[in-house]
Amino acid sequence: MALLEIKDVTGHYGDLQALFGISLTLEKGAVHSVIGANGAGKSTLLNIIAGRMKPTSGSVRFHGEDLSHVSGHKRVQRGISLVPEGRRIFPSLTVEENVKVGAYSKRSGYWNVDTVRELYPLVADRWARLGFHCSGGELQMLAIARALMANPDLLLIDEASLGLAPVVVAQVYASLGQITAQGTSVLLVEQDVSQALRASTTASVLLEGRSVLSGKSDELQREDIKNAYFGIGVQ
Amino acid sequence: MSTLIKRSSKVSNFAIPIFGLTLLALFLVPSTLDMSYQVKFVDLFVLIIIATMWNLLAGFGGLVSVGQQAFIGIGAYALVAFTNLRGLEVIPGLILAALFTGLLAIPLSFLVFRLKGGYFAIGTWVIAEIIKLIVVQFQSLGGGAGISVAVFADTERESRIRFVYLAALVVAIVILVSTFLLMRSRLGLALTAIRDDATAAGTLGVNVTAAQRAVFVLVAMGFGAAGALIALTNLRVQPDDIFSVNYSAIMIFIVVVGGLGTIEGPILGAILFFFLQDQLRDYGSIYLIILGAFAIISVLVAPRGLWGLITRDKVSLFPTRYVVSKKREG
Amino acid sequence: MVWTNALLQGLLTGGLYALLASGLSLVFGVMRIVNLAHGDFSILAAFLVLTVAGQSNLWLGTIAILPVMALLGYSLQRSLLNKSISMGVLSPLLITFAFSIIIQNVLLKVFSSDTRSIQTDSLGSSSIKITDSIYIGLLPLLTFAIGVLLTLAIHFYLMRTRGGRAMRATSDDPTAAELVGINNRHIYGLATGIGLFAAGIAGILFGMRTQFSPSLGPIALIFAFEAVIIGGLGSLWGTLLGGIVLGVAQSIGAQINPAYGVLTGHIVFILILLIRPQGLLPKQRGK
Repeated sequence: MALLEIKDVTGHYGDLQALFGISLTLEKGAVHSVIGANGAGKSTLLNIIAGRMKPTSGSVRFHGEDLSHVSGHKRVQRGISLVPEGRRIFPSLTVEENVKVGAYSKRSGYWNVDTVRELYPLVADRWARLGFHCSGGELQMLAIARALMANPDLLLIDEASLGLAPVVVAQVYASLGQITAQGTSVLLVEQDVSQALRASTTASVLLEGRSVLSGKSDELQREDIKNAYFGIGVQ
Repeated sequence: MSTLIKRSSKVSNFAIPIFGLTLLALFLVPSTLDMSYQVKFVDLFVLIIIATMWNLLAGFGGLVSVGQQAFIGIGAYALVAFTNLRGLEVIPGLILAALFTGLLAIPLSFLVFRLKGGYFAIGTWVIAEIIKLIVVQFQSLGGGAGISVAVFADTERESRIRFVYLAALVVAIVILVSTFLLMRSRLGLALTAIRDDATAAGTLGVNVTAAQRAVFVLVAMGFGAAGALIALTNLRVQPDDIFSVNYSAIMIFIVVVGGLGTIEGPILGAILFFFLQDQLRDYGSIYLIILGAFAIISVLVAPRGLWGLITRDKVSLFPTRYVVSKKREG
Repeated sequence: MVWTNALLQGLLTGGLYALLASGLSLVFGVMRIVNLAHGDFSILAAFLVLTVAGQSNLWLGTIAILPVMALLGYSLQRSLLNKSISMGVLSPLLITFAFSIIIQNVLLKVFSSDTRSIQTDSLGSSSIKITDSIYIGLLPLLTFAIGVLLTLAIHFYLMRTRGGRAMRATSDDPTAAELVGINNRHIYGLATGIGLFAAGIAGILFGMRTQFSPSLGPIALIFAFEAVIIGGLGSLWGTLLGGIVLGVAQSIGAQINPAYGVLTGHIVFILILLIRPQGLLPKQRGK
């Protein structure tokens, strides 16, 4: 049984349709990246999986369970954690408190305060600093650390590289290896194509709300990805 | 085919002659209806005035206040001061009372704008309480017991009631027309922008504070006029009554139930409240409990008020909106 | 000596104000809602204890009514107020204003407008001798102590517990709080529950030392509000200080002229608003 099964999901913002029947399967231990330009619907997809938004139709099954009646905050308990676009760190809490509040759902596992500090020394360095005073890179790592504290089976990461220096992006992506090594599957959404492909086992390309290309990351042709990304020659 | 942006719609064009007829009818009331009806109408006009003013402040200015009774009280006492103590006639007294209230609102705004949101709401209430405490220190204004309005001493009851009725009607019309014109003016546009998103409005060059201060002062004048009218009707001003927070309760109820942010809403709400008050008045405390429960249900079930519910936000009798219409060229 | 006495009395009264204000402050800090019925809820608690004490025992009544107040706060928040938060600033204000009117009039109907107080046998009249001319009432001292204790307790809760941390996170960003599994509707309920619990304690202690009536809610709200503003928004210890400053101001004013007590408090409030609008101990943390 696949960890995550998405079937024919459509999503709307009012009258505007953002997703047109997306289907996706994620196996346990996999890292899947969803690539696409701005507005392609990637964040919408993640938000639907995380329960922040309701799909207009289609189903999302996690561990075989249909999640339609499970609200956002309850999905954390089920094992889905989202690192949102813009990180959304709590500004008036310290780094330490941001990490600790991540364990609110009390799910046990490998990730705790010590192991998370080990994973991200930069976060450990800033332990007493207010969330408000952290830089972009620190925020990104902190956001992932916070999400990890819930020991998720599935980690959703939305635009990890956005607004970050390449060196920091590399550090963030390097940590993904250890995350998957501990048994968490990852679904990430990215505009940075090369980074995304390097880090993932499988990938799909979204164009204007539709999945136009998918396959194993190391087998997808650059040319095909470029065409799919920009909608060149795609019906 | 091209699209035009118009201020008025088919409905508002249709509504204007209806307003004209209603106004004519209202002016004929003193000659056709009994004194008791005129008194009731004055009550209704005052309700419309204070609701329209509160709506302008909160719905367009974005300033939610639970202390506007301060200005009602100031207006009432100002009228008494100008007529009793300075010997002015009613109309000049009324106008000066309104202007004086507006003038006082300027320094008060500097004080009260230091608070935001919910705390601004209570802050204005505290100011009202403080003003009341200050006013009762003046024996010349009657102190804690209140003071009678002497300006009508030599007037017959029927003429007095008719006079006050017409004054109230004219003030209500002036207020409604001014509000309408304000909303169509540059200030009105600024206010709509502020209401939607104050920060964004600021970045577009709208001086948010100045616009809000302008509304605060203008609205205070309206409340002052209302206070003066209340004094002229009751012939007595008592501090605990005229500065009562119940006025705020009524304003808020009318506007929220009638429809915030529209000119029609407060009018509709005032009429509804007027009837409710009339029917339930004899039940004392229970009527207030019912009103409170009604308000809660109304807020949760019809957040856009009765007007919003009836028209589903598509209709505007007063042409203040922008309507896109498709018209053939030529 | 008479001034020292006034100062002392003001200090102790300040504890009561701080107690009342802490609930208001917490609810606003977490949800940006000002509960306009806060004062009325504290008076309600006093009346409820009066009723229960009349049937059985005073302390039993107090212990029973306080959880009732907390539960009332939680359920009102979850059933009515939560829905209104998403509708903007006006809706919660109107709803809590309506609560205020409903509570006052229900109390008026049931208890009439007569003033009354909660009988406490010796507690209400005992005092401790400091010097020959300075005595401290036991009840005011107890009230002050409880005020400080509650502030400490809420501080501890917010800063050192999982639930309190969740509450602060929700206050920062309710949508993001859901990301870590926090049910923000529940958190909001808890905040109002704690708020009304505190209001209840304040009301009961107030009712033990003074005469009260159904219409005292609004003035209680005003004092609580002034305490919060004087002390500084967002700061729990600020609220305690604000309550004390207000109490002292009123006491000194009343010493000058009995009619000037409340007015002096108002003047201090206005001065703070003019000269130091952020309050005496403003919140340091960034937002």
